[in-house]
Amino acid sequence: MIRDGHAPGRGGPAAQAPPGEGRGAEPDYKALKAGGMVRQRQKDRFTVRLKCPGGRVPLERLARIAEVARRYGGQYVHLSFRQSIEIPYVALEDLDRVRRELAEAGQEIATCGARVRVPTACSGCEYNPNGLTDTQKMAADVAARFFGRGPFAHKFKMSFSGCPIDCARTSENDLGFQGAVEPRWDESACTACGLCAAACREGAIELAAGTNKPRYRRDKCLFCGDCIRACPVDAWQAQRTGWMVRVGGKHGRHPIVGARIAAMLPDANVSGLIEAVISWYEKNAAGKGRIRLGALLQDPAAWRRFLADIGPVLGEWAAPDPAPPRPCEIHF
Amino acid sequence: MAAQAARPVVPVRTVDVTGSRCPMTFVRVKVALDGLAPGEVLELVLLEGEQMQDVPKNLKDEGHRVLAVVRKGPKYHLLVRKGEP
Ligand code: SF4
Ligand code: SF4
Ligand code: SF4
Repeated sequence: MIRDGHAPGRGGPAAQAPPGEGRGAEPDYKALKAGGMVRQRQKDRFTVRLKCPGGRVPLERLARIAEVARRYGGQYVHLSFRQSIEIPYVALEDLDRVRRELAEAGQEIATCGARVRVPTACSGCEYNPNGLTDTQKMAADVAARFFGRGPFAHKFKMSFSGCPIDCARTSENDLGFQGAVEPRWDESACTACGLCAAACREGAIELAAGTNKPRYRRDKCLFCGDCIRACPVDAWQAQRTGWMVRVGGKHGRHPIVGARIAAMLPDANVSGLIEAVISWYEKNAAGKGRIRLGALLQDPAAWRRFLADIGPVLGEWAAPDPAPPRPCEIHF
Repeated sequence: MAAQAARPVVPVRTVDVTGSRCPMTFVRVKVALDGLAPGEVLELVLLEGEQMQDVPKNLKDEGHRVLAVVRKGPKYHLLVRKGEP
């Protein structure tokens, strides 16, 4: 157990504080109440969790974070499992100063408790060759619109993956969005070279005996776009690009695997869906105690009601007759 | 494969990477193509599975063009025309 992460004597509040804000004055706990300050096992020490949507941190802000951590924190920062930079060992009386000094550089604090958390996202399509959708843009957008909403019955987490490899684990979030592309084959352009069939990892493209032309098996397709990327003559094209949407996932003591409720949902429909799901959760979890969306949706009647209520928002992108989120017990 | 019937494509050299594994496959393909002038053709021999899943799409990403493919059992012979840099 590490108990000496804080360097004593450095950046003591008395040395830094402007007049009237020294040790004697009652500290302003606004920062504490706003959330994102996590109490440590060490007395009066807090871990300050920063808001880093999609795990992306511009360099100027990173420099300020390092300065603030050096002044008020311990000897390191920590990267949380959900892509936040955390500054541990901040003293209670420094919390508001830390918040203010970070805010000057545009760096906000995350939240905790029963609220919409900072969305996570993979690096997406900007520089990752596998990326099909702009996960970073969506994470920034969604953070701007929904971050901190609540309080609800419990926390609400979202994530964005750029392709079916799903690095952002969309099935472990209350709402998860995974990029996908639906391929379309243009027979007139095809030279029957067979590359697409060899490139497909799912066996979703078979070559017809005799003609050597592809036959697409939609039931096996993961919508990864490898066929599109491999075809030398662009006979495979993107028909539709969008998001596979999963709902009700969580980890924790009783993990739940999220259920896919929509396919190829366009960017423009994402925030409407989030709004609808959050409102549904807010309304339907009321009076049921501390319960996550996925746990609520285990009840068959609730699942039917959820699909009926959310269906109109999903429109043509709704998955046909989806099964509810699945519990995934790891302790028994 | 109709294109090659009109004008036979003659590869400058043949590189067989079927004995290599990632990331050496990538390095050997890159070195082989670096040795060619744009427009020249390389015959590249790849193994079914991972190599065929990865290499053709990377070639296309980097602006090269697969002109023809001949399969011989688990091996694929690709004629690759080097793209403009
Ligand atoms: S989910 Fe896909 S696009 Fe995102 S980091 Fe993983 S491989 Fe890349
Ligand atoms: S999108 Fe992916 S899984 Fe579907 S056919 Fe193409 S390569 Fe195969
Ligand atoms: S890779 Fe393209 S040209 Fe070759 S068989 Fe597939 S669709 Fe046809």
